[in-house]
Amino acid sequence: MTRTRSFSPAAKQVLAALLDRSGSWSHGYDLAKITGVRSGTLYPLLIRLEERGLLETEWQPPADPGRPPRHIYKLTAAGIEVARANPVDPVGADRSSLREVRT
Amino acid sequence: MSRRALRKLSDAMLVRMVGLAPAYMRNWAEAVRAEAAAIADDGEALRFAAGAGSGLALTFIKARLNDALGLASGRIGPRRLAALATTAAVMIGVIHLHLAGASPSMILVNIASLGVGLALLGAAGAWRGLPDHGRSIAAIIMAGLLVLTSLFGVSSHGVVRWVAAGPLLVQSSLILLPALLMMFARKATAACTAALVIAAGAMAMQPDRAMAGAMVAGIAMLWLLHRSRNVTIVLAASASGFVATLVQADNLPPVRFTEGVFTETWQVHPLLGIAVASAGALLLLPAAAFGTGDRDCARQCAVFGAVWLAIILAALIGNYPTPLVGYGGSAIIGYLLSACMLPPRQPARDRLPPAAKPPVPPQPDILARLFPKQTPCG
Repeated sequence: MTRTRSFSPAAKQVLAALLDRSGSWSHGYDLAKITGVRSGTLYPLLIRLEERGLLETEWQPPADPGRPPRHIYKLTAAGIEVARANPVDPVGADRSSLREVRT
Repeated sequence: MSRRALRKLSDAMLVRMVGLAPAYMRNWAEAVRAEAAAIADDGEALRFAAGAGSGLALTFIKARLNDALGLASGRIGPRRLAALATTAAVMIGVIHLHLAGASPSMILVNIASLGVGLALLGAAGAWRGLPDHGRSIAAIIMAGLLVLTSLFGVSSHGVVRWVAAGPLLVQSSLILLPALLMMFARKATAACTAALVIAAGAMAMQPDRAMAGAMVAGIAMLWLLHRSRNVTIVLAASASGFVATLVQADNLPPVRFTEGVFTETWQVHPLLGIAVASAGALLLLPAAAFGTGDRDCARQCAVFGAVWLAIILAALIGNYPTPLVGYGGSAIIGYLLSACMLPPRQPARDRLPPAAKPPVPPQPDILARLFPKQTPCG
């Protein structure tokens, strides 16, 4: 029997943000800004999502010479399914929007 | 220090972190470095790097520990880790007993109990392999034994919680209750629910706040992780049992080498105090190591941790037995019996291959500019 894992509100926020942009790549800083999830929570979360095969990562060549390449993320097909099955809780969504207003 | 200098400092910290990371996670430290470098505002970049750096440091340390102990690969499961933790804790306890002047027979009892407990743990496969009805009967018998102890056990200062086993007094709740709670955490069947309601009644019959509190802690943890009607019923019963223990007078005087051990060891020597405190922390190792893995395994390990944390805290604040490091075989056997109910191992996670290194950005050819190609002489 396949078991589903429950996700934390922060994980659901990140999954939702990545789902919104499914098909295109996201940067870590942008994800932190959109979701309001702190960078200290975001990166361990991204690692876990990648470990579970829900997240695809890639290095993006720098736009300007001398700049380091950036790590970019998008959901895998399994990740899209999981994100759809784990929408953001209504309370979490409200909090997220408040954070966006404040920043 | 200017923000730019702080930014350089945070970058240097992230460079160090690349070295801290296991090979398959190294790209994540590089990723944070690159992301912070792309943020225009120095203060914002610093906050981002410091936050991500601290989050990653914990992840990297945990991954390194898991790799070192073979936890991630499934080589060591919760049960084997509990056996290692118990052996280490009991050995530290034996050193404490020896230094504090306990009799050799006390040391012998603890070592013999460790042997009995490890033998039980060795046979844990058979225990977990019991069919549901077998486990139900076992749970009801265990609960019945707790009631019988409360009714007809050995009394001391008006408290009845022991069974005489030859010259030794065995605290049946310390042996049976954690195991019963772990059986319930694994599968909250109707028979287990009934057994735990009976056990809560047995706890309420005498003022053992430590074990009644451990029961509430374990069931509350289970309720947080896996709510069901049966869990709610047992939570209500155990909370009522705990309240009943609070309203009864507990005039039991402390027993040297068994109770108040954490504070006593500091008086013998601070290093011994640290060693004994570390041994207490070792008991929580299976919960700490496996509390975030596979859901079933994590739930059982979390309940195991909550129960034993409550027993340790009770020993710290009241006249209750100090598990494993103090004199007493009941806690040693009880700890290992409850560890029998833990899953043998966590399903191994897929190990990622070493991460791809970030591509090297094109750099201006400094050497070519400094030493332009010259036409050969002659």
